[in-house]
Amino acid sequence: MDINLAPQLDRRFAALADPVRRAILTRLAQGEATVGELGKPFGISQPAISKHLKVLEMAGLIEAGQAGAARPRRLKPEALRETEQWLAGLHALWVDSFDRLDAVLAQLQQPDPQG
Amino acid sequence: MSAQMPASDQSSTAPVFTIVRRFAAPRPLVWRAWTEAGLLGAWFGPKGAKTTVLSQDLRPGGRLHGRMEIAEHGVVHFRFVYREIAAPERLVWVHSFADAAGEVVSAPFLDAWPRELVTTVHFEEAAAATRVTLTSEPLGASAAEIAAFIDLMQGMEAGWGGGFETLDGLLAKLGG
Repeated sequence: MDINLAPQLDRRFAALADPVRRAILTRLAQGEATVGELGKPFGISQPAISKHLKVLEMAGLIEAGQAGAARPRRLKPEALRETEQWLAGLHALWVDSFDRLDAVLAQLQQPDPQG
Repeated sequence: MSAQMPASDQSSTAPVFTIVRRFAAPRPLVWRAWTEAGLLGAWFGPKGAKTTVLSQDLRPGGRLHGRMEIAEHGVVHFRFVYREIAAPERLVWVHSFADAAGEVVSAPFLDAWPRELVTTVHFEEAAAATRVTLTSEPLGASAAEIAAFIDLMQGMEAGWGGGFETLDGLLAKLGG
């Protein structure tokens, strides 16, 4: 359902749909790693790993470092901060709303001034 | 000693966003405040917002269309498309920003905000009060994908240390 999410966010969730890609990200959460290092635990070919890395790069989740020919991959913290931001925004929206709802409910329960 | 479930197994079933709050009012009154247009407009929205419900059709598939005046962003519209209305226990709707005609639009001032959020609210009686549990998940992303994202954020925080204090506080609140 591509239309349901903002395009970048949608790519991001789609990239996470694959268990190998999720495992790659979990590995990168511990620090940067080369393509060879990333492929080892999965026992899959380097072209297959490269394809997964490409999807993760397109989704803005990882980037390639500049260090030498190995160009180790690492997580892009910005991607995670964006997610953190909308979760924080959602939290703020409901906390602000609930504070006002408290007041509305108190008002509804006030005894009738006539009575 | 009991076996500890891995964090990933726990979060794979947890909704991406949860907030719980106890309101000092009986459940039927709390239900009214969430479902009557005039009352909802009196409280829903970010801090300082002036909210007006423009139209409401309170039935599954029906819509609510509203507008909010927010100091720093001007006028924004929003809509609910109701999925489930089980008075006075459970209310489910798909929540979006909208245009003046009620069509879904991307968040007007945030790049990475999901276009549609499935919002589920449970109302439970707690003595004379009401306990409200609200969850929200992006439509179109599976729970496993969202859980993976949350795990990843936690993993980064653990791995890199510092820099994610905000998230730490947030997750502590969400976990409540």
